[in-house]
Amino acid sequence: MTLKDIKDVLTFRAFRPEPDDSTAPWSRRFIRESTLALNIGRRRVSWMALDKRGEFRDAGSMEGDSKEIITQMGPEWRALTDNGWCSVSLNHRFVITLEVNLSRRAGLEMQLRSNPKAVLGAKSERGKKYTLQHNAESNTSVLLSCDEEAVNKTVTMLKDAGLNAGRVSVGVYGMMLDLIEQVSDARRARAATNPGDPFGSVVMIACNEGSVCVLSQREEQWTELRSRSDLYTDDMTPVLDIILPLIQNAGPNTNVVFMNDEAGCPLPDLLRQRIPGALVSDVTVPCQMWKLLTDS
Amino acid sequence: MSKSNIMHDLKSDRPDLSPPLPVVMMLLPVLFYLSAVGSVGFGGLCLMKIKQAQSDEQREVDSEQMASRTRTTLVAEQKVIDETHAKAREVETWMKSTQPLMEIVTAVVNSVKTGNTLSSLRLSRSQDKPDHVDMRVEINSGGTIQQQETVQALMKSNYQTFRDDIISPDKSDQRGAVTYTTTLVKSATIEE
Repeated sequence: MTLKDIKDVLTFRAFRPEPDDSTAPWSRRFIRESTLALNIGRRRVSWMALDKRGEFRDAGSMEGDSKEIITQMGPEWRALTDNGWCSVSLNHRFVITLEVNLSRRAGLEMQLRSNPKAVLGAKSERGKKYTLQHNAESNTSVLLSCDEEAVNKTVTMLKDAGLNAGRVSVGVYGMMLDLIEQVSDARRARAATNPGDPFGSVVMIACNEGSVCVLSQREEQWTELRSRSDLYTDDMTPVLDIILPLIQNAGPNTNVVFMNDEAGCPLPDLLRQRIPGALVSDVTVPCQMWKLLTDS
Repeated sequence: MSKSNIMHDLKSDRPDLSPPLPVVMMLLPVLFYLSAVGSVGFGGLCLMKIKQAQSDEQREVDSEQMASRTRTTLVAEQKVIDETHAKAREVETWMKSTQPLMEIVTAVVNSVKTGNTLSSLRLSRSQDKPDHVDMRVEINSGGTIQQQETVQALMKSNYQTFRDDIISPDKSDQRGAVTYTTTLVKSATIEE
């Protein structure tokens, strides 16, 4: 037992999850502690501080090489936190795919972190980190693969800048999982109120500072998925080019559910203009991305 | 964000990552702080009691010193009283012891005739024979006549004289100065 262990017990820190314990929510790991959320893209980095009261403040963003930005902004970011802990969203060097017939045995998620080949078989690649989400009502799964090197380099760069990565995630994938859950909840509620009524098709769109993930669902089945990083900046045309074919494939009266990293994105209006009569729902809330990153 | 879902994490897990301690174990630091607060409180209470005890002790010491001073004063007063008492006892003893001699003095003084004078009358007794009173009378004028008068007065007072002696150049001087010494004994027959 070290002096730190005794200190942690006396400060009640030992009764909370460790700061880098990925199994615990951010809010339980950092009680009354200022932390930072970072959204790191290839050519753009944005950030938001979460203060002791759980309120967001000191938002900022910078264009340029992420490594240079981290080196330059490190001291300022460190000052925004109590102990340098940050939750990171990687916005590049990832691929989201729709997989079929993946194993669903117990403990698979943990095994996927330590030995992805045992879970994915031939689909597994060396130097990749994986995480997945199964469709509970069909044999499809959404699989995220991310360059291990990108994750490790980001953690190292942050460490050099005096910051500790408490979580490294892919923001647009997290947003898509949130959309899936919201749609699933809506479907369950619909089934409870109108038993036997078809739910129809849903196209879920998640956008995060240039990254896009689109998932098409017909009833309980996931049918198509498209994902791109560094696709757009201010002009949303490239996004529309990806989305529109999926909406058209989904058929008429398709519900489009949209989530952006921050409220106020023009894409829902553009969709309504391009597809008159489309049922577009924007479920984005203020600080959407930052709330996801900090489990708020 | 669904509250049941936690955002995924792609970073490698730290091998020595330990789970949080059970909540019930919070009792330990809570008890520690309670005991620390209790100790400080108890220490403060003890300090207060010590101060109070010291104050009480000082008050008692002061009272003891005051009592000691009072006792010293009383002892001094007692000593004065004892000394006065002793003197009074001495006076009383003297008075009692001289009571028998008063008859002799009265008899001698009353026997002095007009015109005669005595320069001194000395009476003494010894511890060995307290019944015997040695008398020495210095007669300035009156001589042996006055001496005879004095002897008769003493005999009237039931005193017997023996070992009589007249000390003077002229032992038969009937008018001049003579010194008469004798030993007086209370007559037993008359007393009976």
